[in-house]
Amino acid sequence: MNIVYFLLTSNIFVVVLTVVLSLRSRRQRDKLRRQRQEISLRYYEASVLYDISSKIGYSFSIHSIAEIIVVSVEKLFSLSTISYAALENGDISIKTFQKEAVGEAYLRAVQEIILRSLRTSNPSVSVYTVHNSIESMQKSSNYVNLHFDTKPKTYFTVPLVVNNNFVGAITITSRIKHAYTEEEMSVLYKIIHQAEETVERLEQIVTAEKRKIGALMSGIPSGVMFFTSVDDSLELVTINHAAKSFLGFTEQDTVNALIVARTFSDSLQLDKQVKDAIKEKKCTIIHDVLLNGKYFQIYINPIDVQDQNRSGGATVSLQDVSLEKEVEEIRENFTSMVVHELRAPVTSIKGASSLLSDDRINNEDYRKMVKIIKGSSERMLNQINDLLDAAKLQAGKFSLTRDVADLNQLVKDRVESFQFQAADKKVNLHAETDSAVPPFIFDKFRVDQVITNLLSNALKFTPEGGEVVVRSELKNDLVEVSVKDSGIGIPKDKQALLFSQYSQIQNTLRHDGTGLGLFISRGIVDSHGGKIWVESEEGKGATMIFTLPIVKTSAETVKRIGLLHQFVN
Amino acid sequence: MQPSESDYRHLMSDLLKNLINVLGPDVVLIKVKNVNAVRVNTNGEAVMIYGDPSTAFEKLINEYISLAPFVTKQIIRQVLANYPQLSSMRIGD
Repeated sequence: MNIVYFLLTSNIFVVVLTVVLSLRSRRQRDKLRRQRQEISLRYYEASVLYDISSKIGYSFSIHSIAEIIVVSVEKLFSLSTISYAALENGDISIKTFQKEAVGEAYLRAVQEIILRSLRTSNPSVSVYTVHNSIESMQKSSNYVNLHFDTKPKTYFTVPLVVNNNFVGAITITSRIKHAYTEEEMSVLYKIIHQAEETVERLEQIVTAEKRKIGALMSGIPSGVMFFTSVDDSLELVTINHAAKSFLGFTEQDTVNALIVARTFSDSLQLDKQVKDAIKEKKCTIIHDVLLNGKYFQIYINPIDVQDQNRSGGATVSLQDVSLEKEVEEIRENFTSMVVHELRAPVTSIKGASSLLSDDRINNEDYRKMVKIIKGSSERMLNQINDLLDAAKLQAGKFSLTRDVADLNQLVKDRVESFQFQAADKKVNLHAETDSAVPPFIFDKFRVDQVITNLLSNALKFTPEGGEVVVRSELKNDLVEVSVKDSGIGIPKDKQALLFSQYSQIQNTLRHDGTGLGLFISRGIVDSHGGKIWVESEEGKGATMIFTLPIVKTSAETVKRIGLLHQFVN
Repeated sequence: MQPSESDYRHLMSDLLKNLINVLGPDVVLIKVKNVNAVRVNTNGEAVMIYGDPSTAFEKLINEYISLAPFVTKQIIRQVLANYPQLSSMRIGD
C-alpha cells in the first residue's frame, strides 16, 4: 500500500514537474522569440534610417524614400503584397511589390484600399491621376499560384507625412487573417515616423546649404549653374542671378535644365556637352558663344558628386566677353586702317620714284614727281609722329617742353596759315582773341598742334559758304580756346568717344587719317592740366573747346600738374 | 445645448469609420481594444461608452494620435465639422 502511495505521489510529482518545466521552457522560448523579434525590429529600424540617410542625396524624392522602406520591410514581415503610393504634382503613383503570387482581383482590391486611404486623408487627391505599377519580389519559379484569394484578409496602411505635408502611404496586405500583432503594426508606424523625422532634418540641412550656396553664387558676376546627372538626364540644381540675366530670364522665372539647353542654339548642344564632361571627367571651354546679342566664354567643369542616385555633376560658368571682343575688333580695325593709311603714301613714293628713274622724264614731270614724293613723305612722317605720340600717351611717357609764350599770337598765326585753304573753300575763317590773356608758360609746339588739328577738322567738315571762328578768352586763371564751325555737327552718341584712341573706328562721319588727332590733342591738353570737350548738335556745327591754366612760373606748373594727378588718382 | 452620449457615440463611430478607411480595420480595431471606456463592434461602431463621454473620446483619439498623429488630427477635424454641438473641442497641432 505504501509503495503504491509512493509511486502515485512520485508520478504526480513528475507530472507536475514536467508541466512546470515545460511551461517555464515555453515561457523562455516565448521570451527568446520576443527578444529576437525585438532585435530584428531594432535592426530593421537602424538599417532603414541608415539607408535613407545614405541614399537620400541632394533632392528628396518620395519615391526613393518609400522604396527604401518598402524593400526592407518585406524582410521583417511575412506578407502577400506591400505597396507605396506617392503624391506628386497632381499624380498618385502606386507601386505594388508582390511577395506571393496573387490574382488580378487581389491586386485591384489592394489599389482600392490605397486610394480609399489617400482620399479619406486628403479629399483633394480625388482629382489626381493614378499611375499603377507592379513588381514581383518572388524568387525564381518556386511559388504557388494563389489566384483564389480575391482580396486581402489582413491589411494596414501607414501614412507618409513630411514637414506637415501628406505625401503618400505604405500599405501591407496578407492573405492570412489576423496576420500581424498590435506590436508588429505599431513598431512599423514608429519606424516610419522616425524615418519621416530623419527626412525632415536632412531636408532642413540641405535647404540651409542650398541657401548658403545660393547666397555665395548670387555675388558672383559671372553666370554660374550647377547640374547633376540623374539616369542620363540632367537636373539643374542651382543657378545664380547673373546666369539667369544672361539667359534672358528674370529672378522670378523658374528655370530647369531643359529650358537652359533650349536657350542655346541647337548647334551648341549644351546639354550634351555637359553630359560628356561629366561622363569623361573632362573640363571643356567653349569660345565665343553668341547669346542674346552678347558673346560668352563657357567653362564646363565636372564635379564628383557623393550621391548614389547621381552619376556626377558639373558647374557651368558663363563669362561675358563682349567687351573684350569689341576691343579686339576695334584694335584689329585700327591696325588695318593704319596700315592702309601708311601704304598709300608709300605707294605714291614708289610710283613717283619709278618714273624718276626713267631717263626719258621731262623737267615738268620731274618736278611733279619730286612734289609727290615730298608730299607723301611728309604725310607719312606726320602719321608716324601721330602714332608715336599716341604710344607715348598710352605709356604715360608723353612730356612737354614749356616756356613763356603768347597764346593769342599763336592763334592768330595759325588762323593766318589756314586762310588760303579757307578761301579755297569759300569759308569765312577769322580769329577773336581776348586781349586780357597774358603770356604764360605752356608748350607752344604742342598747343599749336592742338589748334592746328581742331582748325583742320573744322575746315574739313564745314561746307562752302560756312564760317569758322577761333576764339580765346580769359576765365579767371584759365584761358579758354574754342574753334567753332558751321559744319555737319557731331551726333550726341558719338561725342563720348570722340577723344578716344579708336574714335575713328566709331565715328564714320568725320573720317580723318589715322584718327588720332583728337586723342593726341586731349593728351596734350591733359598734360597741361587743362580740359577739352565738344559742344555740338548734328547738322548744327560743332564747337571744340579746350582750357589751359595760366601758369606764370615753373614752380607753379609743377604744383598744378601735381594737384591734377592727385585729383585724377 | 449640451452634447449627449449618443452624440459622442456617433462621433466616435464616424471617427473610427474614417480611420478604418485610412489605416485599415486591423490596426484600428486592435487599438480600440486598449480603450476600456469604449466598446466597439466588429464594424467599428461605438456601441457603449463607460464613464464620462468626453474623457472616453479623449482616450480614444490619443490611442490613434500616438500611432499616426498628423493624419489622425486631420480626420478628427473633418469629422468634428459635422458635430457643431461638439465644436468647443480643440485638437492641438
